[in-house]
Amino acid sequence: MTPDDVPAIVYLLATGMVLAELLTAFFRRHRVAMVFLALRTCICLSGIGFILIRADRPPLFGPFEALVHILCVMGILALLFARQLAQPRDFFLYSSVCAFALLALQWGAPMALNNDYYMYADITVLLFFSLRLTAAGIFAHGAVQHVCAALGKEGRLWHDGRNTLLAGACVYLASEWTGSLWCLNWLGDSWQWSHGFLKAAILFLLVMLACHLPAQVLKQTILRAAGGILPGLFILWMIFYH
Amino acid sequence: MMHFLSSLRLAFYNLLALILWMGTGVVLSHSHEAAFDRMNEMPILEWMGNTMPQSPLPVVWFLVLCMISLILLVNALCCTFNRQLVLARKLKKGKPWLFFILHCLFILVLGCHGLILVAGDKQGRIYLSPGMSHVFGPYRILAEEVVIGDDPKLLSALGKTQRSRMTRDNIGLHNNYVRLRLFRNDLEVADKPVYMLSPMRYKTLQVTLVEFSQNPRQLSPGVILTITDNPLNPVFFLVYGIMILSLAGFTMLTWHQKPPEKDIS
Repeated sequence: MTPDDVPAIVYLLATGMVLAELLTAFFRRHRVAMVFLALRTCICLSGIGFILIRADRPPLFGPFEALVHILCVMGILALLFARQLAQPRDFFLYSSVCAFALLALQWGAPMALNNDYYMYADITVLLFFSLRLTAAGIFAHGAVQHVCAALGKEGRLWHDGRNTLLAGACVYLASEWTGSLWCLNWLGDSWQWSHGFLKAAILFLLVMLACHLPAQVLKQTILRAAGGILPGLFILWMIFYH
Repeated sequence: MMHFLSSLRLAFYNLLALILWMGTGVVLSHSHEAAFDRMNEMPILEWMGNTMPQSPLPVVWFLVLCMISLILLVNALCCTFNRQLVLARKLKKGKPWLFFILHCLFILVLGCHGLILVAGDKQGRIYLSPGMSHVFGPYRILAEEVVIGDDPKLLSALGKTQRSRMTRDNIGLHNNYVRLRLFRNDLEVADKPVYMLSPMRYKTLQVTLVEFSQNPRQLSPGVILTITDNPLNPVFFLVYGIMILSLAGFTMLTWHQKPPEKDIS
């Protein structure tokens, strides 16, 4: 085994843990599911550790780096959150379905470290990418909470989902702030007209939309849930398919 | 009228329209790439004048975007001062006040975004090789020398393969630079090496090294610069930063509280 094989091994191990989590959650073995969730998070943490040691920087870009970071954030948040729920079964189920979908969609993608682009020597670039991945993990967790709220019976999940969205917005805006600083130093403007800028703005607007739902929309469970799910879906699409 | 302008329903549909319109912009930015690129190289009014005859679609798109954003600004202003301020005064509690401040900061950030577009001056993609100078308002920028410590082919790379070779091992941010001298009304006011990601700043003027370039007519390598003069940039970053902190504060304060259904989902 060479260090170049590590990303593929981390990917396969994480997929195995998510599958085990999915099965145990389906058969209502919450505690066992929690153990697999913790193991998956540890595997992703070790993936992050590998990137830190091997590339001398945090995960930033590309299928492998984005996956381990996002799944790690989702895992930590799920571990913290699931303990507060009276009936965590649905949450485990939807959370592991979301993680599995992410892993499955990246099946066949090159599992390797991203090229060490020379601009990664700048702290604003590191923060921009790193915080964006963190925000993606938070928004994905928020999306799972909104799915649970729409399909389940625990009323508190709406408010938890709203909290997660706002926390994700803070991290995302911090990422955009450092990105603006990077853009100013790189191209002379705090922002530039490009499809990347427009997509980044759409994401922020989606969060704003979810926070400004009128009463008649709030009454419709599907629309309310869609408002909370869309930012998570959009940022994941942006990161993996942009 | 004021009731409608400050309504949550207007905010919702307006945000929805803005999202869809920006999505249209994503598609347009691919089909009209050159027009979108030029948008970053000159003041916006100049861009509109230059682009309208050749390629009107991006200009129309931009004007509609401005209109939707303006409605959002009016909606935010009306809601903030007609509803949130009234509520904050009535309740006399910290949270409504923070909610009000948060919206004020958002209005300021949105306003800064708009003003940055029209304020100041800008010239993009200025090519200078050693000994050449460029005049920008009362300023003259002289390229004294261009120092390339790394492989010059990599620095002017364009293709994806070459870009993938532009790694931290192959290129050092401080190995390559252009020494610039800045004159204001023929009086030298600055002389410093300008690196990638480390622009020269003098008052509100910023001279940014965008890339290294090899002009076929010149023997020595040159640089591509962007010159901007925008007094609003520091204000924008300050207000933007405070807004993020206020949002974080508001999120923490309302973490355990179920908010009214009408305001926050």
